[in-house]
Amino acid sequence: MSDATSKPATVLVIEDEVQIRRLLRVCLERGGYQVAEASSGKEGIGEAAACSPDAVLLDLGLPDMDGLSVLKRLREWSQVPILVVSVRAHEDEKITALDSGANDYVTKPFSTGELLARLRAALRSAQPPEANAVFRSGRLQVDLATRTVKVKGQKVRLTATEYALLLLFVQHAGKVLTHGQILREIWGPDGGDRTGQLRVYMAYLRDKLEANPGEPELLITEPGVGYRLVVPD
Amino acid sequence: MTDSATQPDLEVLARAAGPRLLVGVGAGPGSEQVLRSARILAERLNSPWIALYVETSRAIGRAEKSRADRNLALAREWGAEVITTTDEDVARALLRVAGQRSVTQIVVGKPSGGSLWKRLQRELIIRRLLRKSGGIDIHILGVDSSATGTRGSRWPVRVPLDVRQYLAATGVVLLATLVNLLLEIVEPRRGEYSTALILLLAVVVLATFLEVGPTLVAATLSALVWDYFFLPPRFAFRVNQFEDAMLLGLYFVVAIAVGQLTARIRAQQVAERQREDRATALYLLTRELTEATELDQIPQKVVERMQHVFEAQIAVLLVDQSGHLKQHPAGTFKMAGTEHRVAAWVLEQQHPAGKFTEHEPTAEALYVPLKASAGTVGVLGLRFKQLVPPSIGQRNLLDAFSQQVALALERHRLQAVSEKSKLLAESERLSQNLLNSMSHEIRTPIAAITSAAGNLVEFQESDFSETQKAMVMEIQEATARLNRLVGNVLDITRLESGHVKPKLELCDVRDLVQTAVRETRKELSGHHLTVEVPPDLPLVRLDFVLTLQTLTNLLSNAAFHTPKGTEVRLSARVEGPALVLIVADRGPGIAPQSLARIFEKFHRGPNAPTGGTGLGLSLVKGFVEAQGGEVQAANAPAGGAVFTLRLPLDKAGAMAAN
Repeated sequence: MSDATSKPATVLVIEDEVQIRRLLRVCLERGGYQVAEASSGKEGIGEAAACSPDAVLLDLGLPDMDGLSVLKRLREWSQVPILVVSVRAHEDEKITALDSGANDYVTKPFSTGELLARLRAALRSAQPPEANAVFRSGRLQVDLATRTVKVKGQKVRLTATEYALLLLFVQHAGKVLTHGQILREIWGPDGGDRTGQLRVYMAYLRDKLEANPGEPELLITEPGVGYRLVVPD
Repeated sequence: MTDSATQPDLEVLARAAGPRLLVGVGAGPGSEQVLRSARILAERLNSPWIALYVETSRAIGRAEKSRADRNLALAREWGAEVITTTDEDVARALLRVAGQRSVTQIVVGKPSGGSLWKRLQRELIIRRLLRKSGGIDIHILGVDSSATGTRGSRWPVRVPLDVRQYLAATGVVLLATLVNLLLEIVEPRRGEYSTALILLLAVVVLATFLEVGPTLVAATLSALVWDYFFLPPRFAFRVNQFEDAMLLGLYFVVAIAVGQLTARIRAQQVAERQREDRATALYLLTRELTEATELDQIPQKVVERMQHVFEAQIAVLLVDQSGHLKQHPAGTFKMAGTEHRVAAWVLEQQHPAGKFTEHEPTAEALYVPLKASAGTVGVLGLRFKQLVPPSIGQRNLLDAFSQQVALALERHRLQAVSEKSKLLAESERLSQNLLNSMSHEIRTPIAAITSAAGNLVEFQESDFSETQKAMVMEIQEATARLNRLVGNVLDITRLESGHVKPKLELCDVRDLVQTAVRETRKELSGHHLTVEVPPDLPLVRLDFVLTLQTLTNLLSNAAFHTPKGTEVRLSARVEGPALVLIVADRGPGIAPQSLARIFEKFHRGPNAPTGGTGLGLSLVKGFVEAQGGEVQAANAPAGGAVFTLRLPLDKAGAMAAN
């Protein structure tokens, strides 16, 4: 994190396009990060082992190996937050990347502000949540120890499934959770065909938590991929 | 386990596999009736059935032979598997084949009609069958004696008189007489029996080489010669002693016995050679068909091989892509117009027809279908040189040939199909790769421009003048438009190449509408947006992303074509069996001449502002239709354009959000 007192976080950029690499470096350095670069998958894996970065920006279209394989290789030994940055906009590819262990997905072309916000969220989620912490996002307040949920200071009653769902989002605040990941976490390995139920519970949660359920600001739909709990910067 | 113990087990197994019928077919006129009954029995038992014809060495007349052939052809037509075998003992042959083919029931006809001798023979066959059949059921069917019809000539057609054989017989007998006379000069005290033995030797030798007629002539001649020249009293036809009479009789007995034996061996030899010829022909054809790499080579090989084997002109007709029969140029038989009709019938009915059959017997050629697993793939036509119907052996061979040809054609067809699908998959992969790399190559520089321009304005430290800031905004807007255009072009390419495959999932329409609104918030910031979604809307099975793109395209379209400050209305409801989504604006509406063409690619309305990609609405149509829905454009009576999407509700898919 870009705290003045602590050492700046290191971000490893694995990207073959030199122009994008240069621009990312400018962006990140202005955002207060230290930048390491790699132009191929193999180099990226080596660099990740050598400089142990705090986060990785990974392009999926690499010349020497598929970005997904790089992602899987990194996940074999490291829990470092990985943001996939790619032009492959199709939802299936996003889902595959997320299910393979990516923390988030940013599609090119991206705005600098968006990229930095996603990076901050990914870095934050990498820190283990404290067991008795209180999660706050805007009007929402979740006390993990007492399992109480408050909206604008008012206590809100949630059913067991609703709370389990909310807890999952809180534990991965800021990160996209795919439908498959949520279904597996909440309903177990054979929860894959309960998409309909998930939609219904998401609608309930929004009704109870959002100021205007017609325009959700906390629980955002990532079309075709899943949902994300928004964390204010 | 001993053999005797396993035998019943096999029988049990055979029975467990279901009944299987074997019917004995003869040359008799009653056989047709037996076949008819057997067919009904087989149909009732729903079992496969075999028609067996046993060839014995007994010479049969031409009429009988052709009746046997007709009976077997009938059996074949009625769905029986036709087998012919050679055996002197009919009962043994029936049981042998029954054992080989796990037959559970044997059907034979009751002896009736014919000579007393024939009836006796058939009774003997049945008795032997009953005695030795073990676990197999035997059905003996009565034959209506009036159905025996015209009796064939009792006598086999005589072998055409071969003068040379008679001359040889006479010559050899004369030679033996001469030898006897010479021996008499050398050794005058020799008895008449030694001369009789020399003459008998001549008869035996003749019987092994000649047909029955000449042999009998030789026997008669020898008897006469011996009686006249050598038996005392000499030079008179007189027989005094009983032994002499016996010896004379012996000439005929030996001649007939040896002659019969030889005839049998010879008949079996001929049959064996014919079978060998057929097997060789079939083997050669199979090999040639396997070696054929091109489809065109198959008819060519078939014609070459078959015209030789069947001594016939051959026509090969193959089914083309449109399902019509087309004569292959390799054929040697040029068919007339009426012949094509017969061939078409064969294709349709999957039954042989034409000459020598019951359907269209006046046709010039015999036509047999080429049956493969996926239906009939063609028809073979044979214009025989011979005037008599093809024999059982020829028909069997023809069956085997047509099966092999059909198999070869089928194999080529399957190969072609698999190659085509491989090609298709390859082209799909290629075009997907092209799309991916296009998208990568174009979007990477766009990303660089966007990011660079973004950096210029997003970091507050820049001290740009207002003009400079405006310029950066222009760059950003242009790149955004370029990016949209690239996205639209890629989407339309994906749609048109059939790469858009809707992923239908239960979706919350409210969520869908919210997301669409959020994604177009920037474009619609100057408009009044009204959203109407009833709270009790069920979950609907649709492709979330495609429908979302449709809605955002329609909303952006509305924002783009209507003045700021006007209202845009988005509503959703269930109407009958469809989810209806409506995007309505209060702008100038759609020009009447554009209404019909508004969803066409790159179509622009007459007053459309510049800046659109011209693809948004064609994408809307494509995405909706990919999900089986429809989209309509209209002008509202009160003014403004109305776009109505209808997505079919899957009955099982719609689920109340209770």
